Amino acid sequence: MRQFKLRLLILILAFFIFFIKESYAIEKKTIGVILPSNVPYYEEIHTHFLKKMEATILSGQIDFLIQKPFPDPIALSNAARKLIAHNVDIIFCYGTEATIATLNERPDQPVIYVAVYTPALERYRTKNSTGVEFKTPISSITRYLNSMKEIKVIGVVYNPLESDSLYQLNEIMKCCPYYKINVVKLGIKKPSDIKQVIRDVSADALIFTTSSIANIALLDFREYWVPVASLLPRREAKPVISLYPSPRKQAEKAVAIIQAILKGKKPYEIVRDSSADMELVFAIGEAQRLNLRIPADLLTEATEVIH
Amino acid sequence: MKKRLIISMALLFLLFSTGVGITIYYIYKTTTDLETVISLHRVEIIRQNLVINTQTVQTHLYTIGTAFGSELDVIVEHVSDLDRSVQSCKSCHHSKELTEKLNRVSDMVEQYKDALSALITTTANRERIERLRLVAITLGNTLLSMVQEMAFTADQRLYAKTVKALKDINNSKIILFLTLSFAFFAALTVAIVFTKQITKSMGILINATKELKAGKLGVTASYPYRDEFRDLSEAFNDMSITLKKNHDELLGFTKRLSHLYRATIPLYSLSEEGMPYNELIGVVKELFDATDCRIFIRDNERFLDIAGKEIILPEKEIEALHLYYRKEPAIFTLGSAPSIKTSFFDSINEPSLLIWIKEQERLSGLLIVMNKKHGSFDDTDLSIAAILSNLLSVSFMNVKLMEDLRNRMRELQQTQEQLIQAAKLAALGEMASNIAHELNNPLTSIIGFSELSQEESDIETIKKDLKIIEQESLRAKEIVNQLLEFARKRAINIVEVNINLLLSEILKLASLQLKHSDIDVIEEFGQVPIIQADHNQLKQVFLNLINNSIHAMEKGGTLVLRTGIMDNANIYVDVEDTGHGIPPDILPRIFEPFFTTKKEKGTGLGLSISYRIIEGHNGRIDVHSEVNKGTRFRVILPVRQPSLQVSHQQSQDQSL
Amino acid sequence: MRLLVLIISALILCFSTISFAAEREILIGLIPEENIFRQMDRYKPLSEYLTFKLGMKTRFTILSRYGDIIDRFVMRNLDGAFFGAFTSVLAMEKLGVEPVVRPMDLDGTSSAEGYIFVRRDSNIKDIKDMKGKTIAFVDRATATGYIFALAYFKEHGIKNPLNYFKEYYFTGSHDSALLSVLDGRADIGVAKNKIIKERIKKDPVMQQEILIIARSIALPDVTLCLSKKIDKGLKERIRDILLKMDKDPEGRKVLERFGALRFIAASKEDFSIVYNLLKKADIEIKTYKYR
Repeated sequence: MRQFKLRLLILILAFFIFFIKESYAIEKKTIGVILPSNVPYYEEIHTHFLKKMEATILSGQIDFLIQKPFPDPIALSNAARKLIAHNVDIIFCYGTEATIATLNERPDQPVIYVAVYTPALERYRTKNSTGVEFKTPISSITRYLNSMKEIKVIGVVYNPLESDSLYQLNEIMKCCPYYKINVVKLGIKKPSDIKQVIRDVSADALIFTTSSIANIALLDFREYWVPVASLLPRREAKPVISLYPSPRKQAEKAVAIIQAILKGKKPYEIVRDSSADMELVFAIGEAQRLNLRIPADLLTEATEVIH
Repeated sequence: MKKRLIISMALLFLLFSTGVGITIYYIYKTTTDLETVISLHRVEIIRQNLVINTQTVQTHLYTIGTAFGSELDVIVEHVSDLDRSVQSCKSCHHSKELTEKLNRVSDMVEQYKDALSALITTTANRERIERLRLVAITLGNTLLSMVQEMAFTADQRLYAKTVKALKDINNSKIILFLTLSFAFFAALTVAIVFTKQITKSMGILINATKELKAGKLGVTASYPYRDEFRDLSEAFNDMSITLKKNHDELLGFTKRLSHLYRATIPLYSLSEEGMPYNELIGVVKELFDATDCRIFIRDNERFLDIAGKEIILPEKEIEALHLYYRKEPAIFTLGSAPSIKTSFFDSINEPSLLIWIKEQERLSGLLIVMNKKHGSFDDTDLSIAAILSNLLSVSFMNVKLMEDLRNRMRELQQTQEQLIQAAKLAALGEMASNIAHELNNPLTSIIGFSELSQEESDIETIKKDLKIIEQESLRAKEIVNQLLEFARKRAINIVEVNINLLLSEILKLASLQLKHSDIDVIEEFGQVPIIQADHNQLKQVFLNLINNSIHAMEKGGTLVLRTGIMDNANIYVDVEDTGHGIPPDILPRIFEPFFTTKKEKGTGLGLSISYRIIEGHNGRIDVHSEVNKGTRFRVILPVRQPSLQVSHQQSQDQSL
Repeated sequence: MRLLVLIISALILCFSTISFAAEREILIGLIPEENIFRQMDRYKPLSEYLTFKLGMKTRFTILSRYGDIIDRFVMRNLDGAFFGAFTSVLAMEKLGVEPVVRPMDLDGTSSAEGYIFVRRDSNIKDIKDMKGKTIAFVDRATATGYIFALAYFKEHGIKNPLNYFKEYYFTGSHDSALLSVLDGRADIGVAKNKIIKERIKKDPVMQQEILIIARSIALPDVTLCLSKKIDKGLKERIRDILLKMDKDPEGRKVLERFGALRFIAASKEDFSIVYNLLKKADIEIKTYKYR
């Protein structure tokens, strides 16, 4: 009797488990992802994102439809349209431009974004969107550059078509006069423009904005002759200073938001996450190669020091 | 001189202090160089300390956090040492490159310190601490390699600097040596110059003294500088001048003595003219330095002035004066002597010197010397006058003696002339006998043949005889002519004669004869002036001489006719042959009348006539002859014949 | 002759003092406040001055922040240390040290305040906005860099302050707390006002970047506390020398190097505010895990 009872219990449990599983399988959700290509930073966040997602109980019920358009407005818009056409449940965008391009399409699905530069997004916010934002403190970049070398002219590499990079240029231009630094605008529309743009400029340092184009262009600046600071990481290029939101934390925050959405929360119910999570990477080898002072602040404050 | 002494000493001092300065400078430089090298080595030690300190700190880095407390102080201590090492390095290097490097090192040290400090003070998390440790180690290693690299380059530099310093030291040695030697030589030069200055000053005086010694009295040392030597030289000059003055006085005296002596010369060199008063007056004037001198000679009862004789002094008055002055020379001033009436003395305004001329205690003359040029007559003059007086007296006596001698001589001459006349007559007798003998020969022939023809009937024979008679008569006539010629004192007809032309003329006349005798003629005519002479006579002379030469060269030879200028007033004409010559024993006699060597051909009067003609032209004939070699006759003739001009016109008529 | 004797005796006296000094030395600990080399530079003349005045070798040693400061104090057998507000209290409680003097800064203060600050462009205006943000403290063992903030949050009704934030961490230094906020690595920072002011002095731009949300009351700053094992006489002498330094021209020079106007007397009573703060923050000093 006791044995029967046990068997029955197991049977009921098994059924229950099966049932539950079945019922969740029916509600399987698709997340459309716009992951601009050629920007390793987004890939990195995505990796963290996937890892984090897998660790959650809900991971099995999610499909990912990943679009990897080249980071230009048209390609990004096309990618968004595709996802809308696919009627994905959530559109998950990496980076400011992809987010803006998607929001411009006014999709019905909730739009969740990550690694978006706060000031650039202000105009595009919708009730149907939320995500992880950041605001790089430009002054820190300038301060650190200035502590390594006396800087009089700083060149800012940006893409006039990418609003985040335009905002950053503005920020830099606002902050630099305090340090008595002149700003040279180095606008590029495709990565190869950088060589032309840089030719006639003699800057003491360069800042590469979060523009994807700029980030790609950074690759051409491996072993450059002036210190380079970047607002997005690009490890192969070894910018002396990189200050960017931690991809892991961005991913974690994004996962938390997506979890909430998946649990049925509406985007407007979820406060967008703009908490500080900056990572400061100092390429000490590059600094030594360029004969720069190595400030103790940078050493102690850097979240990572690479050679 | 004192000033110069001070300046020289100052210069010497300056030189030595310069030398000392340079020496000190170079010693300083050398020691500085050495110090530099030493300090560089010290720096090297500092650098090594730096390396060691860094290494120590580096090793401590690995233990930070593992052990407690105490090593922190050690690190701090070592880092402070490190810092001090760098600062001490920085404080002494200057090269831009090195300074830059050092700045980088010190910058690196600062960074290292920051990193170390961060490492030590950070408590946050393990990962960050490890990172900081790594960074600190990296920085430390970089610092080490920088320092070591620097130490390497500095080592090389140090070596180079050491070598340079040693070289500099060596150079300094040389410069030091040069400086010292230069200073020595410069000092020597200054000393020499200074000594020369002194010796020059001395030299001027010594030279002057030497000149003085050499007899150059009154020499003055012209000393150009204003110093003590000038006083000396002035004293010297005074001495010299005084000496000269004394010497001059002495010399003046001697001079007067010499004048006195000279005065005696005319007195002793008395000629036929008697006393050379004019000369005497001159000498006396010189002797007494006077402008006027008069000599009065006693003539009967008065004294006559030699010059002009218009002043006559009465005998009595002079005698009285003579006595008044005790027969001694005296200085006469108007009014000083009594009983002078003669007006001449009134004209003597100034004191004059009276010198008496005596002939054995008898006053025979008086010399009055007046107007002394400088000053007035003094005792010296008087003593000289005394001497002169004696001399004059002696010489006047000599004049008397001379006159006596002359008279005797005249008598002797007259006697001699009488004797010569007698000898001449004797010679004439001989000549007459010679002439007679000469004439006798043709006359005897004439007489004999005329007697023979008278007896001969054959006309041919008579004609023959007559011919001989004619020949003999002609010969006689010739003799007579020549005799006449010789006897006649022919006046000469002076014209302007071109002697070369004359000789050419003669050679033309003799050309046939010369050719016949196979004689070469050489004409060596010089540029001779036209002379004043009797053309014909000269023609005769040279024709005669050429004839003689032709006769001397019967077997041929060379006849040389040469003309030339003898001296300012005379010319000469040579007639030179290569004939048999004249034996020395007869050479003195060739100009004698009727002396001949060619018995049949000549009369023996040719050369003698030639001699007379040339003598008549105030010229002469020289003969030079060697037997068998030849003879040269040289006729010397004056260019002008002033004394003969008049007589020749008068005597023109007398000539044949 | 007398002079010679005098000189010799003076020399002997000299040598004897030196040998005496070598026997007994005073070792005073320093808690790293800034770049330790600069700190050592500042303190060194003071040690020399004390050595000279006391006739006793006086030495300062840097106390690493690692491990237990109290343990360190005991282990190194220190005679005293310059403690901060919290560490002074800690040492008083645990070691029975006595506060003696405290330097008065050039601005005339001898106290420090703790600041709670954010980036001006961060949209955080008050404690409410801080929820879910990141906060950077300095260290558990600092009043100005942690305890005051804890007390502040508790006062403002946040029962469990550390859970109120998305994330919190200890930067290890006041500078770091400030820079963390400036760099965007933390949204909120807590640090000592002196350090912030010093930073702003060096880089005035920071003034515009930082917004101070809250500040503590004045807390006694670096204080020299002497061990109880030092006899009263010596303690008094040390206190006396330090207090009279500004009257002594030699001392004034040392003070100038040290960067203080003078030393002022410190007493246990000065620390009552710290005890107060600890109370507010619910910290029992005897059992507080400051590590």
